[in-house]
Amino acid sequence: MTRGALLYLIARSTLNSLRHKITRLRQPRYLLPTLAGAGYLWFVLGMPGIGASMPGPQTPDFAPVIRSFAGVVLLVIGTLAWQLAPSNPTLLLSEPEVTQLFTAPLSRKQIIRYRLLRAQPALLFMAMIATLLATRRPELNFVFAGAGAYCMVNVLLFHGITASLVCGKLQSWGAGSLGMRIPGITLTGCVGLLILSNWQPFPGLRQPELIGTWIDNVFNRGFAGQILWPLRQMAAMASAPTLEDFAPGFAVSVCALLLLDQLATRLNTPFEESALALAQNVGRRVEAFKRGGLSSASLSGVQTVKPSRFRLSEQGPIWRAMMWKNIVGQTRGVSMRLIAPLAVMALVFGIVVMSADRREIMDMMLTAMLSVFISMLLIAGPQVLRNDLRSELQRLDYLKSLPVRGRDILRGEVYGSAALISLALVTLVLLGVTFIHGSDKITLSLRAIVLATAAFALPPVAAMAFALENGAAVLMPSWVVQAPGSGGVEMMGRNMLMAVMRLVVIPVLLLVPGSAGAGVAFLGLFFLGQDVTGLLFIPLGGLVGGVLTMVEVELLLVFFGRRLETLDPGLEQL
Amino acid sequence: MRYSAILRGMIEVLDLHKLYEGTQAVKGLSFSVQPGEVLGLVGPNGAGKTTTMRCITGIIPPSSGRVLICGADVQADPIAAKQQLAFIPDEPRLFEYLSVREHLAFVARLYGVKDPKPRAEALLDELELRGKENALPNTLSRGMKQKLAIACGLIHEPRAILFDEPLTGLDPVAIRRIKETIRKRAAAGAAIIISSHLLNLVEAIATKILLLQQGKKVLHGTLPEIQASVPNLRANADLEEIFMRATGYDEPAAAVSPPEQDSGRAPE
Repeated sequence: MTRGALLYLIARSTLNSLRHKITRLRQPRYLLPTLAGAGYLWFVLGMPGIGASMPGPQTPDFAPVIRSFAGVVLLVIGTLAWQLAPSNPTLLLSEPEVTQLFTAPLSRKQIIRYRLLRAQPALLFMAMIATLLATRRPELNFVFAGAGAYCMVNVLLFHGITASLVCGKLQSWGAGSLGMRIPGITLTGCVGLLILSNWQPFPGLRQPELIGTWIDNVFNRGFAGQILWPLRQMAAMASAPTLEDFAPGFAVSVCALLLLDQLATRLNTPFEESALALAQNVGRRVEAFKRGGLSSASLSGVQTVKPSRFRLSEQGPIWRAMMWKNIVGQTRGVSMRLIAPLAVMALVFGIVVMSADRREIMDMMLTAMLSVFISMLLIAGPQVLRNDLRSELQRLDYLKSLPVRGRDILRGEVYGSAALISLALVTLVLLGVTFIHGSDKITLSLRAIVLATAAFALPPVAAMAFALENGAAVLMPSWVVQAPGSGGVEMMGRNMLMAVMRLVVIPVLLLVPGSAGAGVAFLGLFFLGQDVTGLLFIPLGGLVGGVLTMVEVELLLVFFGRRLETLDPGLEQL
Repeated sequence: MRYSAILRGMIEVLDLHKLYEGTQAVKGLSFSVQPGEVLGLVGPNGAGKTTTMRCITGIIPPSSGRVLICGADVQADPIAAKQQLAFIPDEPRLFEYLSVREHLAFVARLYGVKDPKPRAEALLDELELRGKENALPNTLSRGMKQKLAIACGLIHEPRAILFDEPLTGLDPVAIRRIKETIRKRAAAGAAIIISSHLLNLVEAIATKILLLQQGKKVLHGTLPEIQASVPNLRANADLEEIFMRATGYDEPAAAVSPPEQDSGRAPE
């Protein structure tokens, strides 16, 4: 009876989730990303020619080596599970599951089995991907590939759960943190002894063909080879070409699952308390993430903070208040303790660069590093720093009840984050112009010109990137808020489309300001020569480009602001 | 004039309609709330209470009709209208990285409050937030968060205040404190709308009741007025009984329980 109810819960949840996802495909905002994601999957997994032309993970020559290596990987994962188990909560369940199942007349055994069953739809999806991949390889049997992958991940999942339950049981017997680690330490020691019994010197990375032989000798010979035989069989299942190759691994997996089931359910570990705490923490983290919050707060007590270093003036434009709010949010966790070591590291690094003998190489390294950091900040920064409208969508109704125009809300949201990124960008350029030695032609005035140009040009570009991210939040809020149930193919498609939007729209918008700025700099250099007067046109070009970019940003904010004013939180399911 | 019959109030809702993808959430709703008045907005789930509140606060535009706050049209002049308005949602929408004091400073700044510190201090005392000034809201209890949301709503001394389920999940002490705060603001001349399913709260605190069903106004007036407008009602019927009768939910209940003993509300 109860088993039927739990199966019903899993089946209905899976089916309803699928039905919901399929039904909403009638709306373009869900259909487009799903098509994009499915197209990408088809490109990677199914398009004729692509899969077959890719160098496969297995060729007949390397198959045994890879199988051996896969066995070692399973060994490492298994050992790691026991190392991590003491700090892992015993059973990961959601808040509704904890509320409903823990109060229902269910035994612990039934809840553990439910947890394993609940994971099956996701594991089946993984197996399906493995099957699809296998269809591209003629030497593989796609049925065995799917079934093998499915069995293997099931064993790994149940093994992880069982390790946590064993540690939980030890804890219930009064074991401390060291006591709970005894199984993990013992297992690691045994694995170490096994490896030592066959130990041979590592051939080195220069002879990759010898690595396979080395793995084989260390792990697959003698006593170690016999002990690790089940793991090798399990790892070999997914790549088994025939039933004879598949059967031993399958038998091992079934035996392992039965053994793990008996161990996990007979322990009768009291997992309720830790599962409840974990479910609440996960729930809070999900909520915090959906709101774009800094982090989930701990469940213990009131957390107080020092007043922010940034003061809010009592007068001035409203958007500055919004900007202040965001800057406080972004910098709340930043302290001198965090900044001081970074500053010292940068200083030490700079001194090393300046005093190095091979200055050209050091200059090149520093330039490359700073270029990477600057590019990362400009490209990834606006995606990572989400403490703006993207994090405010959950309280959009409150924001909209405030006497603030949409464009002012957006201004504050965009400029708050852009100011911080700009500060980091200009600091990096300052480091570059300070520490890069360069040739004698790179004078102090030229360094100042580079710094001034960057200071004029980079902040508007950062503002534009944030304006577009916030604009996407206004135009397609449901794409930005990670609603429960979103994910998979659709989420993959969303992210792809957003990435394309960034890659296309930003260069297009920067075309005019960039051309104008470059034109001003070129004219100055062309007519006045490369002396100081002519060179001054470079930062002037940066200034012109920056101003034009800011004009575009302001126009975008006005456009998005109007849309924000008409945005209906109810219709957008926020 | 089409709306000439309606008395000018601090909050005026004039022939409000809201259509959602073919569903009419609000149908021709008109009412006004005078200074010092507390209007209890009640109705079954899906009656249109939240949509009405959202239209009044300018969160969503009405399909037709007008909403005036202190004479300012929420659609035509949203900033002037919202300047006089406070909306306290059912779930406290707080910025998790601003402390209690920073919240008050920030909201005061948005509303252009001059010299906000004395007001903030007074609200900290009134709503018993003293000692939590530097706390982050995520770490506060549900009641404390609600009190902070109310303090944020009151810092600019609004003339029109909208509460959406203000007492959900609060303990009796917090409920009493917030009731006192609402009464105090009404006595000071604010027009207040409270949307709630807690009918005993509405009955205790509201000077007028507006009952909505399927987006339409079913009853509107003081408790004696709406008692008088419902036929075949027993004497001294409370709001719960009126609600059940007016919305047509009383038949099954009446069939299983003796009317005199079970329909009455326990006295406060």
